[in-house]
This record gives sequence, structure tokens and C-alpha cells, in this order.
Amino acid sequence: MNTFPATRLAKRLRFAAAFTILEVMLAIVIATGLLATAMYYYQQAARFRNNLLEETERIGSARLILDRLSTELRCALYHPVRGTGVRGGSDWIEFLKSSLPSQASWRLPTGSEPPHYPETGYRLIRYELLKKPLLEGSLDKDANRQLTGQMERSTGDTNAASASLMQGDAINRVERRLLSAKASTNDVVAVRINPVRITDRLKYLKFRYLNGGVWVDAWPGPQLPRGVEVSLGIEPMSVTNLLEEYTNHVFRRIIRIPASAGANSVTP
Amino acid sequence: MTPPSCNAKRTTVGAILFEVVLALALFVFATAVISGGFSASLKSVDRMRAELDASNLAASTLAEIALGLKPMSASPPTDFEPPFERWNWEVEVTEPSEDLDMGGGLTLVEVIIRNETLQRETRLARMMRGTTR
Repeated sequence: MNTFPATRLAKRLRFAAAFTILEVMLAIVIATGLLATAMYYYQQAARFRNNLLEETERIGSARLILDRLSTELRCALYHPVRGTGVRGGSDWIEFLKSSLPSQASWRLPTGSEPPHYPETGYRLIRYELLKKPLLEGSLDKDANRQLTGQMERSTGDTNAASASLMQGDAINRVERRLLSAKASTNDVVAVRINPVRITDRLKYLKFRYLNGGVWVDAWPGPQLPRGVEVSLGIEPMSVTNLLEEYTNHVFRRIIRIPASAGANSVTP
Repeated sequence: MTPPSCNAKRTTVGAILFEVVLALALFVFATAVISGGFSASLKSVDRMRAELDASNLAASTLAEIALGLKPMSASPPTDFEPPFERWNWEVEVTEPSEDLDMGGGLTLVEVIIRNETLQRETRLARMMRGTTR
């Protein structure tokens, strides 16, 4: 008579102490859902943070390049003897600018060291948009062949089609010092310095030159234009853009070249 | 009358519910704080881009005045051409005055760049001589 309540009590205790399989599964499902949500949120937050950092770096790069280019272009000059000044195309520019000679040229020669070449205060600077082929892989691919065919039909020229299938990848800067090879003859030789990739975050660069009162896309030189308009963009110019207008956000600045306003020459 | 074991069980269940609610509240609070941080960062990046645009437009307008493409005279607010149509420019000119110690016939030209949408205003001033073409 006493065994029945004891068994029932034991059953109730066992039932109360443990979880049912339903509770366990429910707990696992809820925990998994919460964890998945947290992980997704974390991933999205990390991606968002990276995008923000990259955007900040791109804007910083644009500001730095525009500031540097402005500073250097304001020092541009025309050298009548060398026939060097400013020349450029829509995505490159080369100009002569004045600059202080490097520290090495100010040192007094000693007996042990070879004499330094005299150094002038000129620098030949070149900025250019480096381009890369748009098509990856061989031309045998159907998609590549189709795109090439489209460009050929629109331009009517195979070479022009392949040339137009390039898009901006980075911006390079080359600085050449015009050194005198011999002090007696004052021959000037150009010492090429390897191009420096100043940014690969900006894929669009365009120059326009003020010719009289009209902006033109190319400047044959060597005389100085009155002003240069520089446009920078983050995204490359789309190859399939038939309007040939850059539709993404553009950072644009007009730079006046002071040396072009008055006497367009310097005394050699 | 409620037995003591039932009271204890109800207290335990209540405590667990409180923990769950507290955890959820903490999670939501942390999410809100982090989201707020990201929102502030996004606004900061937009502000940076707007500042660069404004300073570029101001420097360009001053250069255009120096180049003679825009007149060196006070002008009312005028919209820029696309893609900067949301911005407008205004020029204020202070003529040479001995009171202001502006020797050499220099004129103080101030360019004001505004964006009504972003509620932003940037000013850039430069002493200029008359435009030379």
C-alpha cells in the first residue's frame, strides 16, 4: 500500500529534475538562432567597418593627390632652351617644375668620395593613370569575344577596340632629376627614377587644359597652359559607357599655373 | 495554501525569465550602441567627402576668378554645373582700402560655397590683384 506513492513520487522527481528531448531541442534551436544572428551581425558590422575604412582611405588619397598636384603644378615652368614645359593627355601629364636641389648636391667633395654631379633645381614630373586590360583570360572565351565584337562594331577598328578595353587601375608618379653630366659642358641628362604608385584606390584620372578660354583634353606643350583641371574618381570609367561621361562621384579641382600668366619663360 | 515546493519552483522560473530578459536587453543595448557608432562613422565619412568637395569647389572658384573665367566682383549665390548642382557659390569682394592696410592694390576676394541639403558652408579668401588675361 505504501509502495504506490513512493514510485509516483520518484517518477515525479525524475520528471522534474531532467529536461525532455523537446526542451533540449528547443533550447538548441534557440541558441543556434541567436548565435547565427549574432555571427551575421558581427560579419556585417566587420564588413561595414572595412568599407568605411576603405572609403576614408580613398577620400584621403584623393585629397593628398589633389593637394600635391596643386602644389607641384603651381611651380610648373617653361624652359626655353630645353624646350620643356607642360604637355599631357586626358589621363597623363608631364611638367617641369622648380625644386630645391637634393641635400647631396650641397655637400663639399672629399678626397675619398667621387665628386657629385652638379644638380639643377628642375624636376620633370609625370602623373599618369595606369591601365589594365579589362578582359581576364584568353579571347577564346565567349563573353570576351562578345565584348570585343561589340567594341569593334562601335569603334569600327580592331586596335581601337582592344585599346578601349582597358580600364584605370592605379595612379603612378615619376620624378626625373635633370642632372648635369659634366660641369664644364653643362650637358643635362635625365636620370629616370622608377615610377612610384601613389595610389591604387583611385581608378579614374582626367586632365583638361585651359587653352585661351576653352578647356581641351590634350596639351601638346611645351608652353604652359593657363590652368589645369584635375578630376579624380574612385571607380574606373566603364568601358561600356557610350556617353563617355564619368557618372560616379568625382573630386575635381582647377589649378591655375602662375608662370603662364606673365612671361612664359625663365632665364636659362 | 501553496505548498513550499511550488513557491520555490515559481521563484526559479521567474529568475530564469529575468535572466533571459536581461540578456536580451543587454544584447539589444549593445546592438544599438554599435549601430549608433557605425551610423556616426558613416556620417563622418560623408562629412569628409563633403568637406573635400567644398574645399575643391572653393579653390577652383578662386582659380577661375584668377584666370578670368569668372568675374572678380560680388555675385549672388549661383548653382554649380552638374555633377555639383547641389552646391552653390557666392563671391564677396572687399575693395582695396588703406584702413584695412591693403597696400599694392590688392583686393580681398572671398568665395562662399554652400550646400543647402547638407547645411554646409565653406569660405575661402585670397588677396588678388586685378585679373590678367
